[in-house]
Amino acid sequence: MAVNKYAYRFFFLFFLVAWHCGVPQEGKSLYTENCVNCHMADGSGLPGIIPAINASPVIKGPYQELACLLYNGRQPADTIKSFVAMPSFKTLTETQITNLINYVKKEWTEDPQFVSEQEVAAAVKACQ
Amino acid sequence: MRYFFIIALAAVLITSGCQEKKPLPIIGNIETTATGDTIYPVIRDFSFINQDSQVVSNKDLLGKVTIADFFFTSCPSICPIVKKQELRLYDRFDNYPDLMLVSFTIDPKRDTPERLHLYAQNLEVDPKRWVFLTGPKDELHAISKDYVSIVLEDPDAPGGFDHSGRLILVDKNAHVRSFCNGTDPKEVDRFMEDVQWLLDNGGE
Repeated sequence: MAVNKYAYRFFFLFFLVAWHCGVPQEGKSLYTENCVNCHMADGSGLPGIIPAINASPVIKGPYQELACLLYNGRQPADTIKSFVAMPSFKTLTETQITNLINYVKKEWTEDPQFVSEQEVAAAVKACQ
Repeated sequence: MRYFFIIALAAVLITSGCQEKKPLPIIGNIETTATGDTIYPVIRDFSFINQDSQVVSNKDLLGKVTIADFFFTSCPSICPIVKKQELRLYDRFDNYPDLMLVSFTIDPKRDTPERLHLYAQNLEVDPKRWVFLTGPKDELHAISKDYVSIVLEDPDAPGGFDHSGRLILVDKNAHVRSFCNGTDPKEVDRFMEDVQWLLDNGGE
């Protein structure tokens, strides 16, 4: 029936748009809830105390390192000038970690390589 | 002649929008004595230690315009955002030797002078312009009231302390003249104008 054909196309487009809009939006919400207080909305951090992430080699680098950083947190390091410890975000689900990684890569890398939930799950398992 | 009146009218309308900034009031409980004298609230006497382990008292701040806040270095919530805004003030008013920033820690157990020294060093701020003070916890928490700020020790709060992220402007005579929410850049923009006004008016 013609009505069914258009209905199927409409719902397909609807879910495509909803999925496309949903993934980076949750990443942004996660960033706002968990990261903004320290790394700031524009990713600039507080130089000398909290690293900037808008030009961070960690954001640009392998997703495995970023996944482990989110999962385990980090003590202040000499390699990246910082003062306070980064907390662990192991309470986030693998879906949330994936969305957060993809959001920060989309925001602050020029050629973002997005990751899948399966890749993040494997990375998190390897760094436990 | 017609154009003259149009231009004159336009000039009047435009300049009528340019209002002089109103003087900043003194903030706090203003009392009147039985004899009709007015007593303006002042920051109480204090004596704390700065990041170089030197004593800083209220006497050292008399004669200076100060911008104060209450924070702690381990703060995972609002403090980094407030410090970021404070750095805007530090940079904007770097030509005013009579202006000092004063950050009181509310967690003196962890924020020793050595830790505050490292913190200030990492921020790369001049200790002559920005002091970080520590001392007895009860006194640090008590003085926050004079600075119209809230400080509460709360084990359920992030970092163990609940506090307002206010930036407070104090004049040369230890009167509070303005404050703002230090997490809001637009409020800090407005606060900057208050700071400028006070500096332009001799700090009083």
